[in-house]
Parts: sequence; C-alpha cells; structure tokens
Amino acid sequence: MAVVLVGAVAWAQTTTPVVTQLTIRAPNNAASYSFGPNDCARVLTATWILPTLIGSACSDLKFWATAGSCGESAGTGDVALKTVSQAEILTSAVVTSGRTGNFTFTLGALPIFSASEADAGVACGSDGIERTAVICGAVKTQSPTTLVCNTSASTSDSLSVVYDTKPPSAPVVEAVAPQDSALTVTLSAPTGAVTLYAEYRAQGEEAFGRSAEVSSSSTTQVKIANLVNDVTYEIRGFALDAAGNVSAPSEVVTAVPVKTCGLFCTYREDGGQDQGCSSSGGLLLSCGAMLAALWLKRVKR
Amino acid sequence: MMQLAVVVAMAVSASSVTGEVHGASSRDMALEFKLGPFTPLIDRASGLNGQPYNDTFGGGPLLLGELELERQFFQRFGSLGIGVSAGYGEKFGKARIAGTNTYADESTGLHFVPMKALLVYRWDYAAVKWSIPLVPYLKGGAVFAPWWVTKGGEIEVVDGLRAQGFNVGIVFTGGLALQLDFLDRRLARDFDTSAGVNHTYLFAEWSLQELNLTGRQLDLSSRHWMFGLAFEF
Repeated sequence: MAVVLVGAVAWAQTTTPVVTQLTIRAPNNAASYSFGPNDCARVLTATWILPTLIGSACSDLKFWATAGSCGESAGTGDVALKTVSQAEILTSAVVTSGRTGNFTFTLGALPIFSASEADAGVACGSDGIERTAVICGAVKTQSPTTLVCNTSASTSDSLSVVYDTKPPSAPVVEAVAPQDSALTVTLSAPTGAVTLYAEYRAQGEEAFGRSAEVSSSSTTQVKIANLVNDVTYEIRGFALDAAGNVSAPSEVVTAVPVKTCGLFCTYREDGGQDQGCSSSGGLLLSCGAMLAALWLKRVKR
Repeated sequence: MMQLAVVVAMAVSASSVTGEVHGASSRDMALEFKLGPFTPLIDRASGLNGQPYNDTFGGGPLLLGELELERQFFQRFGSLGIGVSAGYGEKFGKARIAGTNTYADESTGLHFVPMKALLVYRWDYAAVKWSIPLVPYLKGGAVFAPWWVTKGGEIEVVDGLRAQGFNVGIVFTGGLALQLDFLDRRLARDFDTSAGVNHTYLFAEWSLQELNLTGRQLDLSSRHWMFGLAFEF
C-alpha cells in the first residue's frame, strides 16, 4: 500500500523568495494516513515529486520521519527513510510537474513507537492510544538567477501518519423510520467516524445481524432491509474510524417494520385494474406479448 | 388581449421588410424545449372507489419536461412536418401505512416517460409574408408512455404485480408561438448566419392526451399546458 505524504520546501532566493513544494504522495492522494495494530509490519510505498520550479538540486534529497515537526534535517530520535543523491534526482523520472521517485518504510518502525519501558511501553500494537508521525523531506537548490546554492531548505509537516487504536465515541440513534420490511436508522456520527453501521435482531433472538456500512456524514441513514413486518427489532449503531477502530454500541432502540402502501398499492386497493406489465419476465417482453394478443384478438374478429 | 395587439403592432411596424429574409438559410427543422405542469387523470378511471393519486400526492401536478424534434416537408401555406418527442416527469409523496390513513416515513413515486410521433402544422404564413410574429399551430399523434411506481426507492410490488408498464394513446395539441425575431432582426439574422437558426420562438400549448384506451390501465391521460422555447433551422 502506498501513502500520500506532502512536505513543503520553502526556498529563498537572495532577492526574491520563491516558495515551492516538495510533494510526497500515494494514489489515493490523502494528506494523512491512519493505521491500526494489524498494520505494524506493513511496508508503505510513498511517491515524491520535486517541481521543476524548485531549480536544480545542489544537495541530496533526504526523507525522514519524526514524532515532532519537520526541520531542515532529521533530528535526534528521528528515523531516516531515504536519501536521494543529486545524481539520482537528475536521473529520476520526469513528469509534467517535475521529477519523481518513491521510497518505502515500515509503519511499525516510525519514531512514535518505542520498546523501552521508559516510554510506558508504547509499541506498535498497543491499544487505546493515538500517535502521529510526520514524514519530512528537504533539499537545497540552486538559485536560477544567481546560480548560488541556497544555504537553507525547510519542510512543512503537512503529512501525518497516525497510529490510532482509540475507538471513536458511540454514535447516537436519532430516529428509526419503520418501512415495508425495512427500517431506516438515522445515526449521528461521532468525531472521527468514517463509516457507520447498525446491528439488529428480532426481540428474543440472541445473534445480531449487521447492516452494510455507510459513509459518515453529520447524520447518516442506514437502511436495514429484508426484515419481517410487525416483528419488534432491537437496533444499535456503531462507528468506525479511519484506522478501523470500532466504537462501543449505541443505546439499543426498538422498532417495528410495517406494511406500507405506495401509489400502486393504493390504486389497486381502490379498485384499479392495471396489473403492470411484468411479475416475473421482462417489461418489454410481457407488454409486447400483451399487445400482440390484443392485436390477434381484433384480427380474428 | 390589448397587450398582444400592441406586440403585434410593434413587430409589424418595426419591420421594414417582409418576413422572408433575403439570403436566409434553408428552414426545414424545428427543435422545442418545453416544461409544464402535468396532472394525470388516474383518479377518473371507472371502477375506482377512491382517489389514489390525490390521496398519495395531494392532487398536485408533476413537472413534465419534453424535447421535440420536427422535420418540415411542406412550406407553401404554413409548414407541415412530422416530429418525435420524448419527455420525463416524476412525482413523489409519502406511502401510507397499510390499512390506515397515516403516512409512513417512506417515499413513493410515479415516473412517466411520454414518447410521441406527431404530425405538426404551423400556420406561419403571416409571419413569413407580413412579419406578424404569431404562429398558431396544431399537432396530433400517437403516444407511447412507459411508467413505473416506486416505493422506498424500488419498483413497488403489490400481490406479486410489479408496478411498471406502458400506455399507448393519442394526443392533440394546439398552441401559439411568438416569433422573437422582431425584438432584434439583426441579431436574428446573425443567429441564422452563424448557427443556421432561422427563427426563435416562445410558445404556449395545450394538450389533450388520452392514455387509457383500454379503460383498464393506470390512467395517465391529461389536459395540460406546456411552455417552452423553439428553434427553426
């Protein structure tokens, strides 16, 4: 799996400061990446892009991970991830926005983890914590006007890699709408929730069934289908965050699906004779057959 | 009526030439975009002991949009042509809890796609010869109209019957179009030179549509107005 990492290099010319960005990213173009305890051994591939605007590189391009903020180079405790030499930069692939390459790193090796007891044993795999590493990159470049190699290069810390084993808060069931053989549950999403789902069971049963997951918004509607009308169901909601942590269940509410009547049902109840065109076959096929039958009937007369 | 007379008088006086513009491109097609309120006469069907459309949607019309293309083949005393059109309309309301008059928190919708084959006569003689910018017209033809009813976002099924079908029927339409060229004849001529559009119209038309010829179908007949914009090219 790859990850999008974005660093920024502020490049100051002698007279006119020029600020440009060193971009490190993945196909999903995310500015942050969250992972959980099952991903500690995962190796991520990050792609970097050095814009042509930045000028010629006059130092190696270095990438590192820090638990703090990015400086011009890796500090104590930071983990060096990759060094791209000046020569490699020049031979790296050229894309429309500049030169590009990639590097990999293991999530469990980020400097937010420590095996030492002094750090309260925060190893990758620990539960109930949320820690953020920042991926940085820096390179010195030659001024296109003075051809002097700039003395400083800096990076931003706009990319975060988050180790998250803190579950989100439980969602709140705002409402349950009874429908025909279905219930629509309105859930309010807690902060950090990415998807929501509901569990349900008929009163008296032990096992819960589970609805499909629905992308979170401020209020999210989850539809539970294929239920039995006039049976009381117990419903509870759950939230998942980006790292896949599952919240505690919401309070259990009960609801009863009911038979409802749409326009066609009302029409039929009121004595309407149209039978539609298809109860099992294709619409055109059955309607075509009906028309053909009507035509033949008239011809025979 | 007075306003109409003023418009006609202005148009005629503003024109120093006849409606037949010298050097204009050939004119044998027309394209119409139109919208209008459409109330299907579902509740009038014989044998009904209730008003299903009114009970479900409150009796209000649905918004119907149509696109019509016409080919003119006779242009001596007015224009005679054949045309085809396709449209779409939908209306949503709340389903009821069965056996009660209580509305459920579940939507139900009627969807309707009228398609027509038409014979069209436009009496544009006065517009062409005397620059009177009013063109009355008549249309008549056959209608093929697939429809379906949804409940909770899916086709409604009642006792094993899927709520979808199509109706075949007839339509007669009368309308009046206001030729807009008189507002700016130079612009109108430029439109013809650059895009081949000879005339532009605003129009209103009234239709009588019978879509329950068997008497046993969901009655999508109607008497309705449509309003739109037309281009002759």
